Amino acid sequence: MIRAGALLAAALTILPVTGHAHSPVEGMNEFYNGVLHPLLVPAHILLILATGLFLGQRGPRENRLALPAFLLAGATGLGLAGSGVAPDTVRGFVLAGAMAMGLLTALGRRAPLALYPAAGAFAGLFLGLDSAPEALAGRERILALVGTGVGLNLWLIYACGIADFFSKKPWQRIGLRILGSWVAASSILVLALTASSR
Amino acid sequence: MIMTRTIIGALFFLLLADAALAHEAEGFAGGFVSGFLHPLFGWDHVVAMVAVGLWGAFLGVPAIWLLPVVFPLVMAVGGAAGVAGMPLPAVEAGIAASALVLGAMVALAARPPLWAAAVIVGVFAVFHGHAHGTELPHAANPLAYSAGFVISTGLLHLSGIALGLAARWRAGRVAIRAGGGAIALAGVGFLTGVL
Repeated sequence: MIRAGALLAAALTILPVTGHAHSPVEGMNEFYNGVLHPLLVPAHILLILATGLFLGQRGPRENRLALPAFLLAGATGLGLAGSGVAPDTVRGFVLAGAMAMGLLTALGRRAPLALYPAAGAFAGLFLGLDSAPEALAGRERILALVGTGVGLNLWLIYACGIADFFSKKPWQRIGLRILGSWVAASSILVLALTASSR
Repeated sequence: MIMTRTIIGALFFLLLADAALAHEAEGFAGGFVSGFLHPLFGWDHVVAMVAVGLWGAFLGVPAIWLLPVVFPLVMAVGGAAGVAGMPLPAVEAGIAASALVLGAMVALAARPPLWAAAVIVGVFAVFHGHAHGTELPHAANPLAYSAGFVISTGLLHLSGIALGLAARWRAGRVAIRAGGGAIALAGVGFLTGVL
């Protein structure tokens, strides 16, 4: 009977599976998982893409303050997330930001100059707040947060660079606007789903 | 004793077993693929989306880019209504009518004012969005599903635009108008239940 109990206990210890909110990539340390984290969360991809398209549509003059604002706000958001003070409603703001910036990109009009750094700061803050590394503590948690900070800035710069590169010819600018409308449409639908499931 | 061990051993291996998923429809990839395929598996959606692109190409700049921008945005509003459970009467008839009307616009080479073209396309986008939106709550990953079906719809528009570029040539214009006529006829078929 004792042996039977031991066998059952062995079975039960094998069954539990680690809970992964964003499926970390196995074989990589916390820093590199942090770098990849924004690419593993669909809502983050949308906001990074929308921000990159919105900023990249315009020249360096508009983006001079937007990228530093994203960096600072992102660091603040990650710091707050690391301290465990991020509210639960952050994901809604991430999607609302993606919707707003997707719509602005689809409109394709030149926005007031102050809107570009504000957009960068908004995206950085809420992406940071929504990137709390779950089930990690101490040095590993800090490594994951630093990695996420690096990743967020890296992916945004890539998105901005691609949007800037493809904003020279008229058909390319049309393509950017269509992409912006796709991002906005996806965000509207998921926001509606989130609102209706509450 | 041997019997007990055998039963516990069998239970042990039974607990370890996982479902065999040949074509895993879970997570981001599963949600994206099912969203991407959803508009492609309905002929009424496909022909109407291609008609939007054809008409945009026929109307030229700025309609060629305005219609594919307006459509997904209004479609998302219709989708949001579907997600929220807001009833929309005659959704399937509206989708079928979109093929008929948009196909007829291409066949007749209709050139209404830009705002009117945008309103016509927008009205039908609500029906298409509502149909997709009602599927959204059941999706494995709603965000991936939405991205999939929005991209798929956009690519169908682009296919229509690409075909519509043949409107530069005389023979191409005839072929496109004939294509519009075929889409309108298909719309009649969808409305009457023949197709």
